[in-house]
Amino acid sequence: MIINKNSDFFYDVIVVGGGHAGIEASYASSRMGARTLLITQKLDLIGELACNPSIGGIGKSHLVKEIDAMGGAMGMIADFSGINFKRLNISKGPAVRSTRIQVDRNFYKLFLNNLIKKTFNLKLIQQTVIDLIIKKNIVIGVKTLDNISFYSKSVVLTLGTFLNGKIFVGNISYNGGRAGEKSSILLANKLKDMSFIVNRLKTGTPPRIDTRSIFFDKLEKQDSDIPMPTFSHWTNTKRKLTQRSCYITHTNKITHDIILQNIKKSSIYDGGVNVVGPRYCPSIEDKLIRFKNKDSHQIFLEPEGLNNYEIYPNGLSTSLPIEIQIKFLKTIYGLEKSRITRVGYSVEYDYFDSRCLNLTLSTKNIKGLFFAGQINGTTGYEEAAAQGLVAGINASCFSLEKPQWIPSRTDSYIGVLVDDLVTKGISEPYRMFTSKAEYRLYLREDNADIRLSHKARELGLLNNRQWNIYLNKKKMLNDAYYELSKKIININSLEFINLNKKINLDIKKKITILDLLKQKDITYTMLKSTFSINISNSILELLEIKIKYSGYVNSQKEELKKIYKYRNISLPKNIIYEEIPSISSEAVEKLNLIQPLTIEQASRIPGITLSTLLILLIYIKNK
Amino acid sequence: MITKIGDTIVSKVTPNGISGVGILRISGELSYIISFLITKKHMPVRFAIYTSFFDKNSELIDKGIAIFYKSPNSFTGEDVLELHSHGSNVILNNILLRCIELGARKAEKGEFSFRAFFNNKIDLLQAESIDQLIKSNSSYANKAILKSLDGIFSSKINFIIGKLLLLRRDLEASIDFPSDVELDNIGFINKFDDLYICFIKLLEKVSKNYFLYDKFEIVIFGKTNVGKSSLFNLLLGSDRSIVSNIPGTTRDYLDCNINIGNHTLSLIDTAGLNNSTNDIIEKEGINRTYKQIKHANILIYMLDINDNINLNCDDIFKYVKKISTDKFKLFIINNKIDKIKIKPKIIVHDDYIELYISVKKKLGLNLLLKELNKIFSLENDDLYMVNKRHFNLFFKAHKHLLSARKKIHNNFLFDLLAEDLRLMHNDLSSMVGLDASNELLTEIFSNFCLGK
Repeated sequence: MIINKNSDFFYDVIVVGGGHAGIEASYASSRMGARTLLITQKLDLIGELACNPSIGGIGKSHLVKEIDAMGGAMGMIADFSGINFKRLNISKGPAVRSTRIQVDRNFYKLFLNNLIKKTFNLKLIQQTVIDLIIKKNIVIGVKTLDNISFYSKSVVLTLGTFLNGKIFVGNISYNGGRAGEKSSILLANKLKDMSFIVNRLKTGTPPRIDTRSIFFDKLEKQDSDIPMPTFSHWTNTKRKLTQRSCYITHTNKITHDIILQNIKKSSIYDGGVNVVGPRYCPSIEDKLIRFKNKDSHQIFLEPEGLNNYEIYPNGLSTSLPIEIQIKFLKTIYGLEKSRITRVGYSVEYDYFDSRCLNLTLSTKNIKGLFFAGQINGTTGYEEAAAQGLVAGINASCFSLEKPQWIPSRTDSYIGVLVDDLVTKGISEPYRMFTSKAEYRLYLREDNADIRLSHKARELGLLNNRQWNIYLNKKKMLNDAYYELSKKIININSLEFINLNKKINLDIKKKITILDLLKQKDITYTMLKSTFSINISNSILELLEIKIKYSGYVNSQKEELKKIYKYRNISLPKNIIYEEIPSISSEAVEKLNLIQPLTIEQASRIPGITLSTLLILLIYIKNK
Repeated sequence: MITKIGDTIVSKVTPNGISGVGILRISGELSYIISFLITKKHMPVRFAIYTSFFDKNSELIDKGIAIFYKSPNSFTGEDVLELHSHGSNVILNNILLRCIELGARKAEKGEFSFRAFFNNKIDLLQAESIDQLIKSNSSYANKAILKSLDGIFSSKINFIIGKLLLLRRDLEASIDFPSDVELDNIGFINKFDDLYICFIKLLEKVSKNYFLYDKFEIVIFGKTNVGKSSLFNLLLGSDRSIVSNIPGTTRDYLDCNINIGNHTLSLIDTAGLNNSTNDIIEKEGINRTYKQIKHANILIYMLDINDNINLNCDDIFKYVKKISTDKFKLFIINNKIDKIKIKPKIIVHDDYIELYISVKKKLGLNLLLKELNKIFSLENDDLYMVNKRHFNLFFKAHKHLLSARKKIHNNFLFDLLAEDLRLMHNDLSSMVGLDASNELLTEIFSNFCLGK
């Protein structure tokens, strides 16, 4: 048989799974010039928001900004389909400011499908992958339920939501995750045979409520911010969808009584579900048991879309029986007449130990195979998408024989995510927070493009239009910096005296506007209203944050320099930890599992002590 | 698992010089053979025997005690032999030479401790303690080291870390979970002030402990002819400085050891800070004075009370106050009170101590000596070993705490304050070897109800 390498069965990269990880993976790899095939069980489900209709939030929005700076899809699509735009943590400092967009799920899906369809180099097919084709520990393709083989140089697996899921509602339980997951178990079982380690996690969802059964009039309303905060660096969508409000209500004593009286009926407390759930996303049952003193919990009512009659009550995850769900909902202010459209449930599912991965998200034991998304134990669209991006980029690099991309903790939340997964592993569904990033003051939303777009362009992820937008922004920043550093203020001028009345500055000599901006109590808006400055607000704001944070960021850079010393000490590939005297067997086991590349990475493995590191250092030195 | 990491080593473990008893330690595989060839006896394990030590011609070198420790139950984890002979250098050297003939090698500095550390016999902190134990020669210091081996110092630091963790938990939770957790500002500030006080108390003790080992320097400085050298001489009890009434007599600095409490400190007299001088030698002296000020741990700034100097306008005072955050104590001494006939007194300020004395008439000197004594008096419970690494980390932590304090009593941005606290936590954690970030997350999650 003559094999035509360009035929429909041969690709550079195959991505299995059409969720958020799969989409970013295939979108990235195809843009980098790799012929990519996206195989999904259901084409209709591409771009589905399986949980709540919201993108971003604290920590997660940093990921979205970074995905966007790398040319990814999520930020753009969320901007287009947003129906409520909100900035969070505004008063708490630029580094922890976050963006959250409520989206219309139908539009989100529609816009995403349009984007994918138009993407050059990217083919889609509806098939169920049941096996990998592996030769000498190198993956060369996949096999589907219909017995078709597709070949490629690398494969990205994003087996997605609720692998081998078991759903619990009260004392009822049944197998199944979201939409036709059953058959991905076949592939998961094959992976288990390849000695990937499987564990189980749990999470929950709230019941959905019919919009028409809620008394919104009496509830606290939350509208979009003006100006609307957006994610994407590359689009400036003036035309927005109709905006919708979110609403806030609270549970009360009566709600709590009902739940506590029936707690035994919840599968979480009758021993049905006994695996680890996330600490930050507890079910309402969990919250009541763990925080007995709190007599009220906030519920955030999110609209599911424009042409949709459902509300997602965030904060009410439960696995109580349906009749109890109905009962306690009706005790909540504004929900007295509420009607459930979908029942809340909790779900237990499989994930693979992410410590089997390299920092490129390729697996350690099979070359060319990549894992991304919930399969690695993360939760959330943003976390999945970020991994998809990394896996897609590296799968493409692998196939095209280009150098790989390892995102770093020091330049992105994406780096924090990947490093946490690979080096530390997880013990509960992994979600991003700002407190997970040591270099949080530098890893801000506002400089995501400054941090990453250069790399993105180098990898071939940004087109000329995007690159020009980036260059233009950089130029404006530099120009503004230069201009303000040249403008000397006359301290005897009326403007300055007026400004000084408001804020008592101890300034006696010549000073530039730039120096003034460095002062703690001076904001760019004050300066703009005092002096004639012909620079746009957005640029001035960026400049102000940069200047005000530079002291801290620089001292972090100093801290980094010390770490770099260790980073440069690499651990030899062929190192046999068992042979090193005096390292505990527990440490040996961890080092063997993670296979850290450097002393610096080893230092972040939980349970690796300073003594172990010193012994490693001595050992390498003596070699 | 005990592994041999090299050859057999030998070294004198008692200090050089003549003493009643000298001890040699041998560690490594050859220990047992050496013991047999030197004593001509089969050594029992962990049993002190009185025996003769022979050289290669089977002639007697000395008689003494020998003890053999079998691996892994020894200091280094290897086979260890200890030979106690008379303390003469000749005898010890002869035995040492014999060991070397038999295949041992002279140990490098710290090699025994290193092997002990390598074989998991001691941890890093203990290894550091042992090093200090050998070096120290004050009885306070010895007690302190033994306490460190017990972990008392760690528990003090952990106490502070505990408080810090609570603060960080509240702050970080209010950043990452704004809809669930709101920062209770007043409570937060109160908790912070509590942390601040605890830390400052510990810092003082830590500094004192540190100086048990380090060379402690007190420098006396001030304008010319205010009585610096007179004070120096008085404290010294001799006339080492040239004292005269011509300004600028002390052109270089003088350095002498004095004893206060159980401590030996170095007292330094400096050239007067006379800005108007044109004398090149005197100028050089002034430069050296500034160097000494930078170096020293305790500063004594002397003034002539008759000069009526307003400290708030005094450049020297401004300068030393600025650098005194790194210092242990700053004294301002107003000398020559006899001339205006006021009584000696002491005023304790936030960041310095002010004294009114007369050196000439020996008025109020006891006040100064009492203050100096206080510095070196430590309660038994507050003795622990503090080495340079700990001390530096403590000062870094202090810097971050001050930066946080500045913010907290003004309008503050959460992210910047959080960074100060994070850095402080890092420094304290690396003293006791804990991973800060994991601890924090656990703390946040076990205490807050976080929705979504």
